[in-house]
Amino acid sequence: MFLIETEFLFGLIPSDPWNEMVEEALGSVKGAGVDVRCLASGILEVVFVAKSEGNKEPEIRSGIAAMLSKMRTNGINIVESIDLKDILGCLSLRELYAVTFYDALHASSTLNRSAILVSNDDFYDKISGLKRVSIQDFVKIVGA
Amino acid sequence: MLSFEQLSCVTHLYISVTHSIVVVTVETVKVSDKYRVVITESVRESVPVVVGQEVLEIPLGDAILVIPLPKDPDEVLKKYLGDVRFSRKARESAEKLMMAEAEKAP
Repeated sequence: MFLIETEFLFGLIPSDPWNEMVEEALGSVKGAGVDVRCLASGILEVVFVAKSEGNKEPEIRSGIAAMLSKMRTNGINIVESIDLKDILGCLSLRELYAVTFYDALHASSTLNRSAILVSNDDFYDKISGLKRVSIQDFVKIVGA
Repeated sequence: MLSFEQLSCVTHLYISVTHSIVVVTVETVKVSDKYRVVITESVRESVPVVVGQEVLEIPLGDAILVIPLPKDPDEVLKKYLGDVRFSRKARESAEKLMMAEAEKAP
């Protein structure tokens, strides 16, 4: 199972620097029969990033609906909820590594599901046992 | 506070919003077979939806929230989140805001 987080979600926005790559990744998922899911923790982070940039909550809600619409169209239909194991794992990772809350939450959610995190951020590589692929490599894997 | 029954008896609610008056019509519909619910014309005037369009339905306490998924998501994303740039700094700002909101909670 592959999991996408905040970077990928913002990459769905046409003006985002990662958009071209994310669109390519989305296109490769469609019809490929690969299990790709979205982390609810990523959606939570979208809310707070957008709020910290001054966006209003109704605008953010519309934006998230648009993100979900794009994902669904391309076969990403499941949002993985945050559960107790994810939260406890997040707190434990915060004790072990110098990582932000969201780094730890995304990483914990990925580890708990024995999944692979799709992210270009090599900051995650400091977390032992976490499997990560860049968006470019994800396109190659799914397209193969 | 008005109960739902009292509210249902009122056909128009007049709500003062800043300097203008907004008229809100309260309409009720019945759940029909297969739990279908009609989205009335007056609601569609406020929130445009078309036949075949996907919607999200979310249980919200004793209510159901229905959010139409946009037909042109790129347009919506450009309009509402087009100026937001995600970065490690943005992640740190989001975390600070989240923690600040948590501290404000009663």
